[in-house]
This record gives sequence, structure tokens and C-alpha cells, in this order.
Amino acid sequence: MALNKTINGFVYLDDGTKAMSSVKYQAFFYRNGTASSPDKWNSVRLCEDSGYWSFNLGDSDFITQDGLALTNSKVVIVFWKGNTFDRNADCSVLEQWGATEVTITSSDVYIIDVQVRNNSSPNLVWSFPNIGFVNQIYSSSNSSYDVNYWYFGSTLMYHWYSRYGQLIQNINSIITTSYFWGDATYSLDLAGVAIGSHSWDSPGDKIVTAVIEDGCGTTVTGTRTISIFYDEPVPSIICHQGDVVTTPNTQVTFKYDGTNDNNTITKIVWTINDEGYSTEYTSYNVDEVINHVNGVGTTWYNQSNVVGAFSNPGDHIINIDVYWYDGYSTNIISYQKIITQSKFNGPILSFEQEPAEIVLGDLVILSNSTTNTSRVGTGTYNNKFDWEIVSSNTLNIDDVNLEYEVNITPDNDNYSVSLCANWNDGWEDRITCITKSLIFKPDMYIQTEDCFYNVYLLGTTPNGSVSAYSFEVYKDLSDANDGSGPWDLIWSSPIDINQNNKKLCFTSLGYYKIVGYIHGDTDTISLFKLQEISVVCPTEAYDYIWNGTGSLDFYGDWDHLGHGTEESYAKHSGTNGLHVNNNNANFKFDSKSISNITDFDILSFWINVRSWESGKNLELYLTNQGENINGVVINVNNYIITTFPNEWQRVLIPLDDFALDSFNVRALNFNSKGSIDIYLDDIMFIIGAIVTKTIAIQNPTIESHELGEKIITSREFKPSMKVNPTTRSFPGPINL
Amino acid sequence: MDVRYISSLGYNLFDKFESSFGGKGSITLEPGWQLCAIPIKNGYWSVDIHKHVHTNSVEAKIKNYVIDQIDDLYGPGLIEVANTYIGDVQAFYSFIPGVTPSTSSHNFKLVNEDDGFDEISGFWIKSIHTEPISINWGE
Repeated sequence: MALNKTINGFVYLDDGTKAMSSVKYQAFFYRNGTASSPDKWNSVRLCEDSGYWSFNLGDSDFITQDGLALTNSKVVIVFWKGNTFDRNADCSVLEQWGATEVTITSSDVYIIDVQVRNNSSPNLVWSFPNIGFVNQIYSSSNSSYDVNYWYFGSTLMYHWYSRYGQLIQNINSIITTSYFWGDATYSLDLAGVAIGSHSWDSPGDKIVTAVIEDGCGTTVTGTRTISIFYDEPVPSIICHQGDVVTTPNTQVTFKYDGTNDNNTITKIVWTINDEGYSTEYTSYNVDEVINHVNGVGTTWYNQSNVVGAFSNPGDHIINIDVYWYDGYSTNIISYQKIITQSKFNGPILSFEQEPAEIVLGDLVILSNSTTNTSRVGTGTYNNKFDWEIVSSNTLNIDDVNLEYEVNITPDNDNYSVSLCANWNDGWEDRITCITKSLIFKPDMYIQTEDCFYNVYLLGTTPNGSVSAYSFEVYKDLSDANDGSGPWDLIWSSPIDINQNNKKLCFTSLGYYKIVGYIHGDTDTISLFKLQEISVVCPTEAYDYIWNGTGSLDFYGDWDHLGHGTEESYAKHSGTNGLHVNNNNANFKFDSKSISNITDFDILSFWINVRSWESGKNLELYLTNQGENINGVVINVNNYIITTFPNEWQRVLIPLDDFALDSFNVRALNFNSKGSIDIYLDDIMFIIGAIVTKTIAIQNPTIESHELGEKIITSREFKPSMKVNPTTRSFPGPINL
Repeated sequence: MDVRYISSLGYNLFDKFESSFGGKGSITLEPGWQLCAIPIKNGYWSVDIHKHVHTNSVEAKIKNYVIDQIDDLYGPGLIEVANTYIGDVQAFYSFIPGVTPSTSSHNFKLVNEDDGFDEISGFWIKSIHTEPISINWGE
């Protein structure tokens, strides 16, 4: 079926009466996003005498019967009374008007009674700031409009200017906007809905009036009040000598450096804070230069104080309270700035040594290369530079000039030199020092002794520092054994500050490479020497305590006292051994005097266990000069296997285990806590190092032990070079 | 006028009648839209005698000949709209019972004169009654 939708009704006038044929109407079809026919206005039509109006979407001047008017499409219908067929005619022709809108549904008939009305007043919608500042431009907002609506019955009627992008009726628009600025100036007849902008050159409350006028000459007026203030100053301060006053005793002056638009500042109160007190000064002239009249400056040698300079170093807070008039009342703005008074810079200390690498015994000249020395020297005592040279002795050289040179001849390679400068920072005397170690040429040398070799390391790392020394010993593996290598590392020392001197004992002939290391703060340097070994260590170095009393015994035995008897069957070697077969046996070997065992590090004896009461200890300890226990008591059964009957076992007990209080000993004491039956022989102190297969080491604080393999109840010794730290001191060479 | 046959169901179209082209007939309006034509130039429905009065003093229009008959026989409000499309003006004439004044041009004539010739108006009529409505013409 063809398009056939009828929209009709009656039109009424503003007074509610039905209109006569003087009312025209025109409709606009708007597809509103549907797939309906394109948007279109139909022809202007005239209402019937009864005020009845009617049209059909299928009319040929509209969408036509072939058209589509789908649900949700819109029909805007405009009505007007006046002697014109132009809905956009002006107010001189149009008398009453109105428009409404129909939303298309599935209905075929739409019945709408409508009304036309006289002109409505436009709607004034605008704003204006309520606070402003002199000579700044302020603008209104204006979104006024001349669109009005009303309900006629259930029909919503409009005085529309536009709808769906279509000009509905031009008469519904604002023609001009005028502003009256409250200072006898105005902006008249600005076109349309216009914004207005204005500035005022004086403070006070200004009443701004906006007037809009529509096409029928109807005006609407509104007012806003804006309070105009003088603009607030933006305070700032300058110190003519800068934010950082570098030189003490510099007079400082200040000046206001902020804004003062319209000259609204009436006075400025200055507060200068200096050394715990503040000075207040009121200025009525913003351009006035402010002196720090209460600043007393500082003094130092040969320098008097300067009035007007800061009295102390550091930060000084400069405050100002700015009084200004905003057009209504007086206001205060506070502002502060920090001005820093610097101190004098100190010297940059340094000194040089000549030669750059010192050889022991040569003359060394130390020269002062300090820079920035202008403040060095504190006046009254004229203190300048102090030298301190610390080695085996301490040498102090005080109060000398920059040019002074120190001449020394070092007798060792451990020299620490301090250079201090006495200077004044403007307020306080100061001492600045540097300390450096002298730089010695690295060197290593070897002294051959009877059957061992003393190796020494000398010198420093390139920056003079020495944090440790160490050695490594390599054996020549070549068949010729002629020092050509290859080399096999056979021993290395600990790395420690006191490892600069070692005594090396070799057990085989040939070439060795001895490498010494000097460790410093940042560098490690190495030196090496090839050494042909032509003499080896003896197999053992020992001191017998007891070996039986037979005529073939070595040395003089210590006296045996207490349980046990000397028996030939109880010997391990030599003539006799001691047979002890007792319960709670107590026996000892007494030197009758004091023996110093400093040179030894192991107690050695042979034992043959005949029987041993299970779980019982055989205590062993040394006594001191006063015959009290020297160190701690140990248990022999911790060093042997008590379940090996009738077998000789060698007992090796590091003297470390006794934790001796003194190396002066009087006697060796045995004390069994159960029943024992043992043979005992060849009791001696030995140098454990000498028991080694290859090499032995001794040094003042570190002792190396090579112990034969022996499994005992609680400890396991394996053949290796063990380095055991100890607190013992061995000041002298080995007694070989 | 050269119309000879409009509806012939049981009626003799050649029975000359004063206000018609001759003949009489009846139409059953089913619910919804229905296309009709009534070849009556003059006459109206009398609610006093409950039948048509055919007199040349009254032009037969959609309201006085058809709607009034339905309102009288079946009660008011059963017809939503009756439309004809007049070719000369290329526009619909839409009669809405209860709204369109009888004086309105939208109360269209059943027979229009066009250049000296009588043209029978074909029109769509929309019944919103749930039952068929039977109307007569020519008697």
C-alpha cells in the first residue's frame, strides 16, 4: 500500500480561539537516522476557515506515495499567522507563530491541536567575573537564546529558531547584545548573542549591564557586579653582592626588586637576620637601598672587621613585609630570601717526594706542592705548615713555609708523612692535613743461611700503600732442573702484612722460583727470583725431654717422677722406655729448671698401648715456672687409638692445643683417670715444619705444620701443608 | 459519465435513479483498509428514516453518505479514516470521523466533476471494527 499517513488538527490563536484561514503551515520531514525518504519540506498551506489543517505524508509535494516514513522519523510542523507565506518573515509581518513535532509510529492518523503565540521574550543567560584587577581585561559569557516552549493541551509547542539543522523561524533569534560597563562606557548593539570584554583603570565595584534584543525589539536586561582591585605586588629582593657573598667582610646592601604596579606599596618593613639577632628597618620608598647597618663583619689576622658585612657565615634570612593598598584596604605580603655568606676556601694540600721511588739509604726530598695557600697562616703565631714523618722514629717539623723542603734518608720502607696547613676561613682557625706513605722501590732479596734461606720483600706499591705481603714457591719440573721450568707451585704463604720475611727450608736440591707479592690499596705488584738450592734441611729438629737413661740416650733427660718404671722392653728406640701399669697413674718429666720451647711447635712421643680402661682419659699438660698448669689440659686418648694393643704409635700434639700461657715450661705431666698399661718413649719437642717432605716455613706469627697421617679418635691429620694461625711469637731464627 | 458497472452483486445498474448513475448496491467493509467507490453524486443518509435520501439538493460526500450511515447503523468510532487522492491536486483528502469538519474540503465528494465529466472517487477506508460492516448505496 502506498504511503498514507494523515496528520491533522485545529490551530488556535494566542487567546485560545480557533484560528481562521489567516494561519499558514508548513511541515518538514526528518528521517532521523532511519531508512526513510530524504528530509524534505512540503509546500506552505493555508488553514481552513474552521482552523482545521491537514496534510498527508503521501502528498505529491511531500514524500509522495512512493516514499517511506518509518517509525521514529520526525515531522516538524510550523504555523504562523500573518499576511505572508514565508515562515521566516520578520516581526513586522508575523503576528503569532509556533511549531510542534510529531514522531512517526505505525499509526495512519495523527491528530494534533496546536497554538500560535505572540513573541516571547528572549532568555538572557550570561555571567561575568565578580572579582578583577585594574587594567586587566575581563569577558562575559553569553549563551542567551530566544527559543521558548509551552504546552497547549497535551501538545508541546515551540518558538523554535532551528531544528534538525533546519532554520525553523528566523524570528526566534537574538539580534543584538549590548553591554554597559559601569564606568560610563558601553559596547552597543553587538551582533547576535555576543560576549563583551572590558577593563577598568580604577578600583571599586562596577555594575555591568547586559541587554539582549530579539527580532521583535523585545529586550531583556541583566546586571552583574565586579569588584576591581589593584593588582597584588609580586615581591622580590636582590642583594647587590649576590645571593652568595663569597668574601667575608663584604658590605651587603639590599633593594626591593618586586613589582609595584599602580604604586600601591605604601611601605616595606625589612628584617635582616644575622648571627642570632635581627635588625628591622621600615622603608617608605621601594627604591631605597637598604644597608646592613648592624652587621659587624668578622676579623682575622691582619684584618679588622667591616661594619655592614654579615657577622657570621652561612645562610641569612632577609624578610620583608610589603604593605600595599588594593583599592579597598591595606594588605601585607611577607617574603623572604636567603643570602649565604661563604667562608674562605682552605688550601689544597699535597707534597711530592724525590726520587719517585725510594731506595733504602738514599736521600729523599719532600717538597710542599700545596695550592690555594692564600689563607694559610693564622697571624698571631704565624703558624703555617707542619710536617710529621713517622717511621721507626717520629720527626716533627712545625711552622715552616711553603718553600720548606724535608730531607730524610729512610732506613726502612715504612714511612708515613703528614703535612698540615694552619689557616683561617674568615671566622675560625683551621688545620687541614694529608697523610701519605712514601713510595719505595719494590725489591726482594734472599739470604742463604746454613740450611735455609731468608727471603725479604721491600718497598711499596706505586701509590705507597702496603696492605699485605705474600710469597709463592715454584719448583722446576724440567728434566734438567736448570731453572728453565715448567714450574709447579709447591707452596704459598698466607697474605698478611707481616709476611714480608720468610725462612724457607728445602728438602730437595734444584731450582726454585720464589715469587713475592706486595699488596696495596689498589695494586698488587710481584717480583721473583730464581734460586738454586744447594743445601737441604735436616730431617728433624728436636729437643728430647726423655729417652730413657741409658748411656746411649741423647741429651740429658728430664727427670722422671711418679708412676712407671724404665724398662728395656718398653723402649721404642735407644736403651729404655717407660712402662706404666697403674690405676689413676700420675707421673711427670721435670726439667728441674725452666725450658724455653719457643722454637718448637709439636710435642712428639711414642706410645704402645698394652691395655686401656674403656672411656678413661689420660690427661696431659705442661706446667709453668710456678709449676702450675700452663695453658689447658688435653687428653692423650684424643690423639691415639687406644684399641691398637701392642703397636707403637707416634703421637704428635701441636703445642697450639695446649694454648700455652708461656713458652717457659717446667714439666710435662701425665695423669690417668683409669687403669692403663702403656709403654712410653722418645718424648721430645720438635719443629713440626722440619718434618715436611719438601719445604718448611716459619715466620713470626704463622707456623706451618706438616703432620704425618694418623687417624685418631676425634681428629684426622693428613699429609699437607697446614697453616695454623697462632698468637705465639717466635722472634728469633730457628734453632737448627 | 460513462460508468456502467460499479458493483453488480444482485443489483441492476441500469435502474435509473434520480441521484445516481443508476443502480444500487451494497459493500461489505472488512476490518482494516478497503478500497471502495460509490457512484452516487447526490444524496445523503437520513438518521431520521435510517436510509439514504437521494435528492439533487445535497451532494453526496464521504461523511453524509457513508460515515453517517455506518454511525447510524453500527454506532460511531468504527471508521478511523477515509482517504481519496485527487489527481488534479496531487494530494490526499483525508476524512477523519470526529475530527474533520463536514465543511472541510477533506470531506470529499463521492463523485467529482472534472472538466465537465463526472469522476467517481475511489477511496480507501479503514475500519477499526472487529466485524465486517455492510453498507448500501443507491437505495
